[in-house]
Amino acid sequence: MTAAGPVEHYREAFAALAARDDAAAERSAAFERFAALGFPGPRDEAWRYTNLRRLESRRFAPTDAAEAAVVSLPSPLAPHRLVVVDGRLRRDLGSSGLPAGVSVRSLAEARSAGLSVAALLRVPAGGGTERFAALNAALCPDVLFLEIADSALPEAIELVFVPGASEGSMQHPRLVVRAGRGSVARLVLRHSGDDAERLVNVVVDVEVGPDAALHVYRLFEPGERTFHIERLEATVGQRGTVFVHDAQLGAGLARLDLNARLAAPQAAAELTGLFLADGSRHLDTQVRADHLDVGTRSLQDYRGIAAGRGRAIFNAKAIVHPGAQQSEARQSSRNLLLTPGAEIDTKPELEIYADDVKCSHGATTGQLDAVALFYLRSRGLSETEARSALTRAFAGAVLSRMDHEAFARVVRDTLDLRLARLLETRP
Amino acid sequence: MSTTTPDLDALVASKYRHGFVTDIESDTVPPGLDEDVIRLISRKKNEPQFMLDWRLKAFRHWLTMRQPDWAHVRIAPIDYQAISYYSAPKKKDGPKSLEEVDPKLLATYEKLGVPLHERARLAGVAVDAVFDSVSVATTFKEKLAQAGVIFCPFSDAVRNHPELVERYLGTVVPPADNFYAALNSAVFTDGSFVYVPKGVRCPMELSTYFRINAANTGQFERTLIVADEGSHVSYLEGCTAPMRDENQLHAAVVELVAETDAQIKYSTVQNWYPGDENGVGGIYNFVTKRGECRGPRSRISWTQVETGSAITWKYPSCVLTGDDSVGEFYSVALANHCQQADTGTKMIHIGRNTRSTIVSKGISAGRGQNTYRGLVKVLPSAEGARNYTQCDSLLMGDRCGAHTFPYMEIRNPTAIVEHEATTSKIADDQLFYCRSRGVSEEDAVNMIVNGFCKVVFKELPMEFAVEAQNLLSVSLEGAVG
Amino acid sequence: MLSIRDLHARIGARKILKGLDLEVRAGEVHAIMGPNGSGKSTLASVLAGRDGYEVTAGRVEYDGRDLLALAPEERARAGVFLAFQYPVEIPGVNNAYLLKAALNAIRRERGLPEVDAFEFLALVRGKMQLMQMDESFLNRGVNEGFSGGEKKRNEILQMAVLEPRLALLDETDSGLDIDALRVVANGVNSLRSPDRAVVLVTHYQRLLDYVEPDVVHVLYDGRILKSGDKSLALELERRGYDWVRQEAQVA
Repeated sequence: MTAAGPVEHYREAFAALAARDDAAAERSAAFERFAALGFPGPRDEAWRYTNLRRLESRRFAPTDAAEAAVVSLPSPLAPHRLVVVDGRLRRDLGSSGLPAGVSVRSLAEARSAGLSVAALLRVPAGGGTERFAALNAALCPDVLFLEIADSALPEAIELVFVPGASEGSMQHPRLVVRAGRGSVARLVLRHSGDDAERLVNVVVDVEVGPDAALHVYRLFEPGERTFHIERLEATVGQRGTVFVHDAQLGAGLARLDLNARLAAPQAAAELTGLFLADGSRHLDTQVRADHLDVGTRSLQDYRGIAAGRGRAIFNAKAIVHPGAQQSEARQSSRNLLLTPGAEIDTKPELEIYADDVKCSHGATTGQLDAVALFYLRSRGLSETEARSALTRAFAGAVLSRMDHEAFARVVRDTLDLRLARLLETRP
Repeated sequence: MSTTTPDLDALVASKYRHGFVTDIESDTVPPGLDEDVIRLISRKKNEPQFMLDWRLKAFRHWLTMRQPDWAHVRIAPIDYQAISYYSAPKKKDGPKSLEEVDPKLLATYEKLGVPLHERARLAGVAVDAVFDSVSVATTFKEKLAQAGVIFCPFSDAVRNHPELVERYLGTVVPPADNFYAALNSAVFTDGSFVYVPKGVRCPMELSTYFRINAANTGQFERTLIVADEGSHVSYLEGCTAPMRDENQLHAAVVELVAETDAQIKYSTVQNWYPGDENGVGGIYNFVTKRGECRGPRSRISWTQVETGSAITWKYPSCVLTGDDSVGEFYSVALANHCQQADTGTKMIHIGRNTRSTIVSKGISAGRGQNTYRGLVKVLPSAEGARNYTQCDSLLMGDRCGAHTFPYMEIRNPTAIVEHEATTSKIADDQLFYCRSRGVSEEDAVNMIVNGFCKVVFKELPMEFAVEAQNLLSVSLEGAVG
Repeated sequence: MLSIRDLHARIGARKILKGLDLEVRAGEVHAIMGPNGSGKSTLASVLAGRDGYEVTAGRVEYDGRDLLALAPEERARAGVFLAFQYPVEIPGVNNAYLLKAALNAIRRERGLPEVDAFEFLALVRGKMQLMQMDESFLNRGVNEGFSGGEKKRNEILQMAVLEPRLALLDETDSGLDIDALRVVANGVNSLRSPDRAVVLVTHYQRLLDYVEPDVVHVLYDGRILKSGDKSLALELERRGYDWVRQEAQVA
């Protein structure tokens, strides 16, 4: 009932964009999927800690300007760069050429190469963000289809997602990645933005082939008035591994569903990262590993910090499906609540339907160790310095795993800057 | 789930369909529920007006509620109009003697070491006091009276201590708390009431008395335990032996109030009929249990061993209001055959320096589904709050499930909350080790399972811990092999 | 007492035992030595009935019975005892409880009355003195948090209490200091009697300084290559294993 208003708004937006490409059937099926699911109701467990009423009340306008002005581009983090503005690849803004074994195609190009449009506009099923992934499939201006050839070992590639400079707009970028058999690749996915109010609704659909390893470094730093919803889903083949290193540092309200589907024997996923909910940010991170076959392994390891009026939600879920014997799932969620007024809600869940498994999780929420703090001060550090050192050490455990130097440096610098600001303004 | 919800509009609008007559003399009212039934229950029990008003208010609220569907269980539709809500505590049409009792049940009693004189009562044999319990009970009563402890059936308390009941009833579990609590508040027929006065250490485990003298308290049991300032009480509910019971739905409410420096220890061993190997029959156990540590330095400790029921839906909780108060939850839950258990606890930290400990051991076997669901909530006022949670699951067989849903909501930066959990099967090398010492596989499984549960068993009163171990062994028979 | 004929066994696709023969008579102590990977631990595991080992050929007779047809607990009750190389920890299960359950299971099998708690304690105390073990051992979880040496001593204590007819010690001496080694040797020696047999599986001959074997075997690549008296152990210690292999190839 309450959903009727906003859904109708998106329907109008959808109608205005209709007939823009040859995927009308897929797109309208996707839209109807969104309309049927609507916005989450008050009792929706997947949205227990995140209320979207504010988002529902906004009427964001779709943008599809192929030549939108760009706010600003951060300095590059990898030898090769692709720039995506308002969901469209802007070849004029990125680096020229791609490493050997990597290709990027648009929806139209993929289609004329005989690829399935339905697959490229696939809506990942289930979870709290299926509705938004469907909306993305209906409204995305294009699909970026990035393919890594079998056995390729390309240099790292950075994809920068930036909005055009318009207040009150919405973007629906969609990236589809296929990492071929035996390939090893590193992708930096960087989301940035300015202070304008907007909705960014992202889908990243990844397929990791047999024996392939794909490292995804996700740097998330949009402005505080951005509503950001993202579904990042990786399906992993036999003996393949997906590594996700996530630095969740931006937006006003962000929801990330990071899912790994371990769909073949010995498939593995390492989903690790950190989040910083300062100011009045609301960061809702939901990480999930589905063990669908034998001998699959997952690690979910996040560290979170909340301060000011920030609120961080971290929900990890590992599901060992029937028959997925000899699976191993480990979860760890460590959280630091720095100041009064902040909140951390964490829920590490295990659902196990097989018996020959090893699963464990640990979660803590606390503050800086008073003894360590005292020790540092007794050695001459100021309280601010001591707090900063310990907070950085806390985040350091995750940073040290981010084996991409330029990426790790930016994350560390950003964290340092924000922590310095935080600790100075501490009463 | 909407099909399981009674059509409320129709319910409110229509009079009772089956020709209900207010027959004060009848012992059992026909199935169905409306305000007249509630008035009848209240009148039968000679309740004061406040009690009737309270029940009616709860009932009216219940009509606006829906049966919850968030638990990790599958429930067949329950027809709330097919239940009879009042049955006087009369002799049931049970077997006339132990010879008529199912030999399988008797064999179970034997294995559990249930004393002979208790077997008849448990099996529901319809005879008068077959053993000399009356005098025993009287002795206990005298001893309690000397200490000033009030321990009586709930309905007696309503008549004899209305001021205490009115002061405390519903203050921890409000009638509108949840669907089943509201239903219970409207229709509960009996249960236990305990009041321990200031500074009194209850001279005995209230279990002893209870177990010998357990009345047929029915499916909507209501328990209220109040420990006044500085008092101590240990209460034991349930029984290791399977109880004969024809009621499928059990929706009890237990409220505990611990005033300043008071301590309440509440232990439960639950072994209701779990249904057969194929999941046919069995009790639905939908209980609301909550204690409030109202005063500073008070302490409430829940210990439960859950092996029975087809479906268990139960979260004994602590509201830690008083500064420096302590809440504890120790649980062993077993789900074998087709049992479904969704159980855990809530620890709500409100006062300063409040502490809570949660230890949950779940065992899944057969096609059982065992879910731990827990909430640790630290409010901004709970300066210095601490929680430690340990939550382990043991899997036996590849068709069972073990699930862990711990919620942690932390709103005070001085709080420390820690959660650890593991899920694994019984290790082959442990089994082999025991077997290579001559222990049979079944005994080896029992040993390992009991070892797994030991930290919880040691929280139980001594003699009960031994019984709980036996119970676990009996419940796991045939789970391996 | 124990008669092994042409035993072949594998783990998965890997063949480990490749035609092993061994004859052990009552009253004897045998030492089986061999380099890492020769099949020593596999032999001990197969004899005790551990899962995961597939016997593809051969026979094992124990007192005229087909040992391989028995479940692990049946072997134990029939008097076969394996001291594990890596004893497992079983949290929460009381050491004394396991031992008493095991003892009574074996006594039942032998037609003896079960011991009660007092008799059990008296029996165990005596054995513990022999093992120089503290009584607090009994109240701890089975091997839970034990040091390596404590675990090994616990194995020997169990052996002393259960009084097996055939004891198999799987590298019980590895990782022990000299004091613990003496204690373990004491335990083994106290068990020696005309109607019992002991098989020591070991990598080094140092245990044999304290427990004098009647026969020493060299196990190599899944077969017994050479047997001899205790001097063979000393020779192996001095010269290693290669010469045995070369000798066998020549023959």
